[in-house]
Amino acid sequence: MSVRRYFQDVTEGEELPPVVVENLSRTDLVRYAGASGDFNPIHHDEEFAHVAGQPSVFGHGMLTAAFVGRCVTDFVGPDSLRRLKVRFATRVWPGDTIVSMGKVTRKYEADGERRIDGEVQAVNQKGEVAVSGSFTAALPSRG
Amino acid sequence: MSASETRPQKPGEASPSSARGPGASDGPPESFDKSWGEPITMRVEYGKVREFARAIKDANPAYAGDGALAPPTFLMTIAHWIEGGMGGMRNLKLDYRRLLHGEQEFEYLRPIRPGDVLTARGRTKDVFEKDGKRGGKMLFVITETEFTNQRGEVAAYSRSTLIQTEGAVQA
Repeated sequence: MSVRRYFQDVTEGEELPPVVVENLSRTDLVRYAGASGDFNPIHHDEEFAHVAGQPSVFGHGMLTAAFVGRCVTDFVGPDSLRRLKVRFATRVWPGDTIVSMGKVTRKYEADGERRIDGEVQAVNQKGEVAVSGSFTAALPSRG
Repeated sequence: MSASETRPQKPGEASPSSARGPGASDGPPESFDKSWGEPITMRVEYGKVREFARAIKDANPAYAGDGALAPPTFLMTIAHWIEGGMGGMRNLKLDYRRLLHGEQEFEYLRPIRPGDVLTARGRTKDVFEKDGKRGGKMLFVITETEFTNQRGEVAAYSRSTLIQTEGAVQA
């Protein structure tokens, strides 16, 4: 859960607490398809996935991106986020456990705000990177 | 093609007639239409925000109750209603069987809450070609979607990098 975090409380190199999503299920993928409106059948239709040469359905990249986003917003608070960028690498499969983590890389002032930049990534249970990315947040100042 | 082509062009934007013609499939177009597509307007609904927060397994209390915020990637729910998907691929001939979503970026300028009325419009921001790591050319398409709220303020930008591979998409 998000706690109000002040600029002065954050240090460069500080790690964001990891967010763990265990044993991603096909139901999770169907729920995300419905919630997002992304009904590409490769994410919910096993037969379609096989015909497309895939061993099974696989997760929406933007679902993994959302896990990474949660790792950031748990740390900075959702209203502090200014930018989130993700790059999709390895696919996420049903049964995978996804750990999202990150760290603060820079503290600075810009446009009258006190900001931090950071790196984030989501890895599967084999340690393969599913999503990597970066973020910028504007934090409140103490005093 | 869309009605947007009848709208006046801003200086520096390619004219619709220079957009890529039908039948072309590989290589970057010599010029492409950078103009904004037809906007769509969506009301941000509380139930949709709750549904989305549950789907992404995020129980943050900021996404519930009075003054709830929309989660950072919630804009995807609106993007899927835009012609051509996440912004303005309407004037490019792309082969969806060879198309990958390579990168996604969101820039947040104002908070987005249930009750907000967002108008989204998309455009193709850039198209270029690169050599692939395993040989072959890859076509990169950068699309941009702008979200404006009911007060006329730009609330967010979304930028997608789409990659068309030369061969079939591999797992």
